[in-house]
Parts: sequence; structure tokens; C-alpha cells
Amino acid sequence: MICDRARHLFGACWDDELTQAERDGLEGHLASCPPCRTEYDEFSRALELTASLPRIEASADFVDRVLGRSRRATTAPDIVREAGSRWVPVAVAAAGAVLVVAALLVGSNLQWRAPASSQAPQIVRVEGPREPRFTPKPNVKPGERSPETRRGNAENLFDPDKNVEFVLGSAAVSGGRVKRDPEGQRPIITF
Amino acid sequence: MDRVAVDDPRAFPELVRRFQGRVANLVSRVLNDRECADDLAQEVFVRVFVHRRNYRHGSKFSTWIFTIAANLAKNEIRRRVRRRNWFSLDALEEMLKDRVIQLADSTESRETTLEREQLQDAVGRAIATVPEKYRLALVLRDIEGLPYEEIAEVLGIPGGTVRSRINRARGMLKHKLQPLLAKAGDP
Repeated sequence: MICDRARHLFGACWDDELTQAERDGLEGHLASCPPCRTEYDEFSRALELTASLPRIEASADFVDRVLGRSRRATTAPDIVREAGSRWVPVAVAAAGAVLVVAALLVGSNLQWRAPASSQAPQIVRVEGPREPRFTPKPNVKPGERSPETRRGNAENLFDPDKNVEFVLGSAAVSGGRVKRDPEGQRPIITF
Repeated sequence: MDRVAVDDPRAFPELVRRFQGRVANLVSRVLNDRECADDLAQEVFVRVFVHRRNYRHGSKFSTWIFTIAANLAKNEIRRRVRRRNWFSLDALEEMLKDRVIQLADSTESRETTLEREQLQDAVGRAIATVPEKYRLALVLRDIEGLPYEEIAEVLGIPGGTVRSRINRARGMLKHKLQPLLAKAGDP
């Protein structure tokens, strides 16, 4: 056994995790290599000193002080039992994000008005569209959309000359998804 | 712990009495500061009390409480490092004390100067100078005697990393204690 290998085994030897073959090899090496023998003696002495350090006891009034501080502390909420309530802020945030994206979607063609009250009914009210949502060009095969159609699809939803009002509640938009047209870079919202 | 979670008034004091020694010893050995360690150990139990209903039964209670203790100790070490970076008087005093002890250790014979308490003090200081992430693993293994698997759980790192950190920490400790060990080996 070479010195590097022997020294690599010191920790496992101390933890009594060597196989019999490793132990025999290490002991044989230590018997024939004084520098490694010294190294191992110092290693084990250092760990003996560490392990033999006296236990440090807590102060005499430790329990009383802990109990006093604990009485003043507020119990943390039971996250296991109240796990469902943790989703409420997430849902609200998601609904808010959808509203922001919807506002961006309509951009200059749409004037957004906030609901009249926070107790607004959970409905979606849209004026328009006047035109069909999707009008395939004659030279486009059925089931295929031309780039022009894809780009214009969001605009075709509403009459660009007319104000469109969305009244959105968090539940009404919770199933909505927003994606971007890969070519037109316009956000498309679907419900 | 189940009784603590349902607010049995006798359960929490009993739990504190049962674990106070291990927690106080762990924190003290990591910080090498008894007064601060006592305060921090109390904080460990306050955290246990505050979060008593969130204890997961999948792991041992000792693992949970050691995790809390290790995290608080880590925070304290980092706070001290930040403070030391500002060259506070406390840090300066601590550094000077380190120097004095190192000089005493290296110049005087073991029989006259390194009596038992001094030797232990020197070992405690040597442990305290091992970098934090190695020190925690070392104390949990070589002072608290935790198995590698439990240390991995407490520190939230893989078992292989625990082994390499402990090996590294032992090497550093041996190196720091080298003057003492050499003297101890003299005839």
C-alpha cells in the first residue's frame, strides 16, 4: 500500500468502516512506514481530544428561560391543516396577471375600465365582435391558417373602432390561457 | 413531541429538559462561546415550540432539532464574520486572544502550561477556526456522534458530501492542533 492510499483510509479506520482487507493493508503499511505511523497517531490523537471534550451543560435556569420566551412567542400557523388556504393568494395573483396581460393584449384598440365594485359578478361581458373571429382566405386549405390570419386574429376579435369592455372576476378568468403569436408577437388570450 | 403539538402543558418542559444538554453542547462547540450559545440554544427551543404543529413525523425529532440548531448556529457564525469584516473591537479582541493562546501553546511545555482545561480550551478554539461548513459536520460527527446519514439530513446535503467535509475538517483540525500533538508525542 502506498502512503497516499494509507492516509486516505485514516478517516474510515477511525470510524471503523474498513473492510478486513483494508485494515490489514493499512496496519501493514503503518508498521513499515514511520512517517505514516506518526501521521496516524496525530490524526487519532486530535480526534480523541475532540471526542473527549467535556459536555457543555445548559445554564441552571435554562428551562425557565425557554418557557418564558416561548410564552411570549406566537405559534406558527399549522401549515398542514391550512394547506388549502395557501392557494388563495396564488389564485389572486394569477387572476391579476391575466388581467394585466388582457390589458396589454387589447393595447391601443381597447380601453380598459375597472369593475365598478369589488363585488362585481363573475362574468365576462364583451361588446362585439362584429366580424367573425376567423375568416379563412380562399387559397388556404381547411384546418390551416395563413400567417396573415394568425397575425390578425386578435384584432379580428373586436371592432378596433369601438370600445370593448371586459368585466372580469378572478373565477371567470381562471381557466384562461395567454400565449403569443410566434410571428405577430401579439398576445392571444383564450378562455 | 406529539404531546407538545397538542399543547400538553407538561410535555414541552420535559422535552426541553431532555434535549437541552445536547443542543447546548452542539451550539457551544460550534460557536465556542458559552454565553451566546446558551442564548442561541434557548432560541432553538423557542423555534421548536413556535413550529410544534409543523413537525413532520417522517424524521427523528433529534434530526429536526439539530437542523434548527445547525441553521441558527450557521446564521450566528455568518453574522460574526460580517461583524469581523468591519473590524469591530470584539473581533479584534477575539483575534488577539487567539494569538496569545497560539503563542503560549507553541512556546511552553505541555506539563507546565497545558493542563487539562487549557488543552480543552485550545481544542475548542481550534474547532472554532475550522470553516463553518466543515465545522458543523465535524461537531455533529466527532462530538455529537451522529451517524453520517443523519448528518446528511440535518445539513441537507448528500452523504458523500458529508464524508468529504468531515474528512477535510479532520485534516484541518489535525493541522491546527499540530503543535499540541507534536508536544504530546515528545518523551
